Amino acid sequence: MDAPDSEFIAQVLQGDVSAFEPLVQKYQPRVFATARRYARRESEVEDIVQEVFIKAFQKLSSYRADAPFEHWLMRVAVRTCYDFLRKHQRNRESALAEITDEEERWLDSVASSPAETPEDGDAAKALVDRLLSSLPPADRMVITLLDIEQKTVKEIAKLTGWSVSLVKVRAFRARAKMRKALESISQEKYL
Amino acid sequence: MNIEQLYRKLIESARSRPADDRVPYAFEGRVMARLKDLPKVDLATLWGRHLWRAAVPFACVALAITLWTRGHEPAPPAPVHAEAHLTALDEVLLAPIAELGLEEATW
Repeated sequence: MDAPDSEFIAQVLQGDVSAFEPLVQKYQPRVFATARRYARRESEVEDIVQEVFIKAFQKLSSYRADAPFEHWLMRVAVRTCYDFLRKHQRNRESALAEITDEEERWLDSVASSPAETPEDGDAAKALVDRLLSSLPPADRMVITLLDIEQKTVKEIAKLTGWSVSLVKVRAFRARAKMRKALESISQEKYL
Repeated sequence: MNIEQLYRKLIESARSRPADDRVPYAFEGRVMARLKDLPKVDLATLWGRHLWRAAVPFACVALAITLWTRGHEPAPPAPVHAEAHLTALDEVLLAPIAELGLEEATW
């Protein structure tokens, strides 16, 4: 573990709240990046990140130095994002309603040149977000961690607190649902 | 192109976008202000911790009381003779009739 992290943590546990600030400054970019995968509105992203650091502060005494502080913090972040998804489940079906022109153009370019990957990553990301929004929270979490962030099943199990077998089952079902959702968007035109 | 290929291309493209890790200006200041406003003592955690700590002494007290009551059990009551009870019951039930002098009456 980095010496500075352990020093700040020790000071916080002794009652010096201000010693938590360097930890916030160091890890907030990573936590923001994680939160932005699960929330669209910036106000929601900020709420999630704030919640992550408040929980980390309150539970700091449970942190064991057997793994880097960042790993422990990311576990808190992922679980907070999962709680957010569960609380804010919107009408999932409407996510697949009308796709935008950019998303349609992306699908067009893939259909016309299957061997190439189109450069418009923003449209692809928007399409993926649309598909993910149509999934239940647990499935969305697994796909994001497994396929987008390319984490291993074991890492996902540690982050979420789920068993390895549960992660595998969820991943299998979530991918099937994603493909079905993609099919419903693209069926008429491209397949 | 089949759906599997389309799905893989879509995920590859989405992955190529770097994660958005922008932080709003002075965000850490807002977090620290919230932390300083938190109650010093988290009542729920404190309550939970004390409950756990109290569990062991309470278990010991319960065990001690159980052992003490076993060692000081009161003497068993005298055996009850069923016939004596039934006779007494007869006498109580028939007492009003006996007062009226109707024991020998027939219906």
